[in-house]
Amino acid sequence: MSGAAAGAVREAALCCRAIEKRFLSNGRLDPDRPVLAGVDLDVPPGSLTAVLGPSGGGKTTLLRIVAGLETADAGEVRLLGETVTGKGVFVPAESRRVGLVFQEYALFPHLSALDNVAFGVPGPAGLTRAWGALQMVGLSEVARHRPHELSGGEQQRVALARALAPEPAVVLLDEPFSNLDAPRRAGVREEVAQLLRRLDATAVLVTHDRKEAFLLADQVVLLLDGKVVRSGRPEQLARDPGSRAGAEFLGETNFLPGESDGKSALCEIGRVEILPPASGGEPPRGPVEVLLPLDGLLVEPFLDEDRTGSPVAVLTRAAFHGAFQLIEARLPSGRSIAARSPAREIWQGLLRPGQRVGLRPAGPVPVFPA
Amino acid sequence: MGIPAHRTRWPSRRLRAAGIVVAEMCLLPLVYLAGRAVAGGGLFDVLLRERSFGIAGRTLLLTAAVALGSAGLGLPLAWLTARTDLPGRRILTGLLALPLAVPSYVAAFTVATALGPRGLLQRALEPFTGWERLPEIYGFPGAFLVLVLLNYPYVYLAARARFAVMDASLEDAARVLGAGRWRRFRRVTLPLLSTALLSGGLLAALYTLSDFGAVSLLRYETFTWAIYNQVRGSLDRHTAAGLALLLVFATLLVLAAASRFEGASRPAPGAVQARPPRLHRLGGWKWAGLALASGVLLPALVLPVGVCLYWLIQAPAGAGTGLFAALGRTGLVSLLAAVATTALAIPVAFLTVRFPSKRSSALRAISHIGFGLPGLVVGLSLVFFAVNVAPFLYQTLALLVFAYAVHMLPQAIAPVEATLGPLSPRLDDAARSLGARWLRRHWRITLPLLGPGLASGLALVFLTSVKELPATLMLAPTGYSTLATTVWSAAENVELGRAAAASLVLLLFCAATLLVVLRPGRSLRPAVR
Repeated sequence: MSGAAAGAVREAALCCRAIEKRFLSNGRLDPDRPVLAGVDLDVPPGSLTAVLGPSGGGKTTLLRIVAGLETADAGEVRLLGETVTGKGVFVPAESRRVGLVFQEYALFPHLSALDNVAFGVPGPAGLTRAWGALQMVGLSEVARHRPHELSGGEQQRVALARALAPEPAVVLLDEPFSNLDAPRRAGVREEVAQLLRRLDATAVLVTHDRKEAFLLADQVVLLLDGKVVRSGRPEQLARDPGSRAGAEFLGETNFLPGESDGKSALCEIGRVEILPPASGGEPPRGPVEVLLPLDGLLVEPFLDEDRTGSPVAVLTRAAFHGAFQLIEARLPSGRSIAARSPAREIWQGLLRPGQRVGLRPAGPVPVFPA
Repeated sequence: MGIPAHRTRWPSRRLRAAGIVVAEMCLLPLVYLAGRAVAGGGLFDVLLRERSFGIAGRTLLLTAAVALGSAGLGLPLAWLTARTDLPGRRILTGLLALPLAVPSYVAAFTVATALGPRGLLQRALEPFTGWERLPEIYGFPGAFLVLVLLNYPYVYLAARARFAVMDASLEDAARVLGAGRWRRFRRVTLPLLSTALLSGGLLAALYTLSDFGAVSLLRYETFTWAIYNQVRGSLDRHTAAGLALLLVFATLLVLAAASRFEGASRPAPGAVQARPPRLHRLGGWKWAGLALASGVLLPALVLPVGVCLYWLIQAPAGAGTGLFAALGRTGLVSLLAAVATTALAIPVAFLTVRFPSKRSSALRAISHIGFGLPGLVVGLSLVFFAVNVAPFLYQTLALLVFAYAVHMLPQAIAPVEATLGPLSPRLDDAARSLGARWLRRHWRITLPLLGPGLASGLALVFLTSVKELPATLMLAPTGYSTLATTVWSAAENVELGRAAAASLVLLLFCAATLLVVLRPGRSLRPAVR
């Protein structure tokens, strides 16, 4: 477990400590199946944090606990410094000032778009605010329409306006883009992210989509099997996913067995420098697994017998993807390894199947105990 | 998105408390009855008698036949009026629900006098055909005919309510997957309708178990008639209680079977933004559709009305004295019953739909018990309860309303469940996250969305209360004669003119109510718009 924001200067807008949750199976708590096993989460004010993980990893449950729609078995939730879930404390959802955008939007089908948005801001003044919120998402022309008369993207924006209109302390978005078709999704999520930044809103986005999380979030929290395996800026995560499981979930990486001396590790492609773990401790020694990301691996045509120190792999496949090519090579052990290489290599005509190549990482790489 | 959260949540304390109160109310008559039957030795006596097995066999045969017959009639009629371009379906939609308003004693007495071996039909046909007798109508054929014609609307209304909230895109999805018309119906529409079919068929079965009017007038000895004879003929309350307890066992059997199928086929909360359905074009088949509808309406509606008119014409002057006052009393007590019963149905529907568990199925079963108990038994047990435990309730309207509520609760539960099922629990979560407290959430979101189900529930309970006879006879305060008791006592005294006049007022009242409450284009419109 890593506390990335432990040194944050400002108090986090949303702060979760050691959240635990077990689900009932047949009416009894199942001790073997914790949904959340001690989750910490710190969301700085005005930032967008993505909680990233596979389906069933506890993301939605975490969100519902923060929203007050679910109780936690243990742990604490603080919103703007006030404890809303904790020992003997439970502020119900309706008193928390938490905005929620549901995966399926959950717009009230019998109310117009405007009335949906105005629901959270009662009174005559509320209607003005609701109107303002609809304008903000660019939907004032369809204010009188019912949800079923709106497109998926419009429904999504109404849901967002509805969540934002009461000016919540934090907005929670549960897979908000998964119901949109792909071409629209890119545009909508860009708009949503810009809107949230413009309003300086504090937001938590739950998603299973790595690209979405990396693209939109200031901070990404990787949640696997109810545990936070890594949190940090997107590029930090991309470089060091925190664990073997985290790396597997993020994908686009190779693992090679190696032997570590604490500073560097020896593996089939040679000696590589070790990236110190994000959690702060010492790198493991002894047998390790070396993580070699597809994008962090340099592929060099092996031309000259005199160049020493570059172990040789045989290129088996080079798939042209336009901006890059996807390289597959076979190591002497028979193991296969993949890398992405800039398209310019094509012009040199060097990377062809059968070509012998050298492989080395572009910088220090993480290792995990084998 | 993980495990649906509503399965992991507990119902709120408020909802659980409401469920417990409803369960206790529903159990009260049963507990008294069981105590009475066991302690008095009536159950033991009944079990030793060979005659009891004949009664049980006839009851179960009739119940199963009527349930199947009602489903077979109600489903196509619901589809025809909800999903096709059947000519006149706006009018037919209301008319097809009307047989529900025909009391079984009116239908049975008119059917018997019209279609009996030497009834009006025989009299009309004899000059031309020379037939001196028509085939026997008494016994199973008549009871089956009358009860199916009066009970199919339970299936019809439940199926319509489900059709109304069914997302047309599901059928489109099946079509895109290459499913033909029949396969779409069998694999998509029918499974989605199964809750409605089962709850409607269950109501028809339970109504048959508790019916007294039809089986007594058509001489088919099931439990209710046997119990009545026992009480009336020999004043033997112990044996009556014993027979009634057997009837309760039969009810529980039906309930157990139904809840078994139901758990498996209840649809998961589906799409909220359902699009209004497209209508199927019938083409030449519209004549078959119209023939089916009229083949149902003719014997179920036209015949009773016609025969009543005939008796009315032949009636002596003064046959209608006091009917207006009876109408007012009937309306008041039925309105109170409808509101009370529907209010009680809401927590039950929430517990069974949103929190499926052994406990909520038990609550559901318990809430159906009062419906399976014959009105006569509910009435008798509450009279006894009031006299012994709560004398201040005896001979009050409150006790009568209580009896109606216990007796008719499932009628309100079924449509509320059918409307609640497709609504996403997320809507409530959304309202909560927007700061809406309990009252505002339910006033602004839950109640409007449940509107169609609540309207159906209110209408069903109101109509059943209007025509309820045995419990009213037992519990109505002295002098509080309703239309039903007026018809009954007039028929008892062979005042056919007065019985016919009261019947017609009753039928008109029910028809007017149905047309107002279930007006096509209002509550039967797709619930989610």
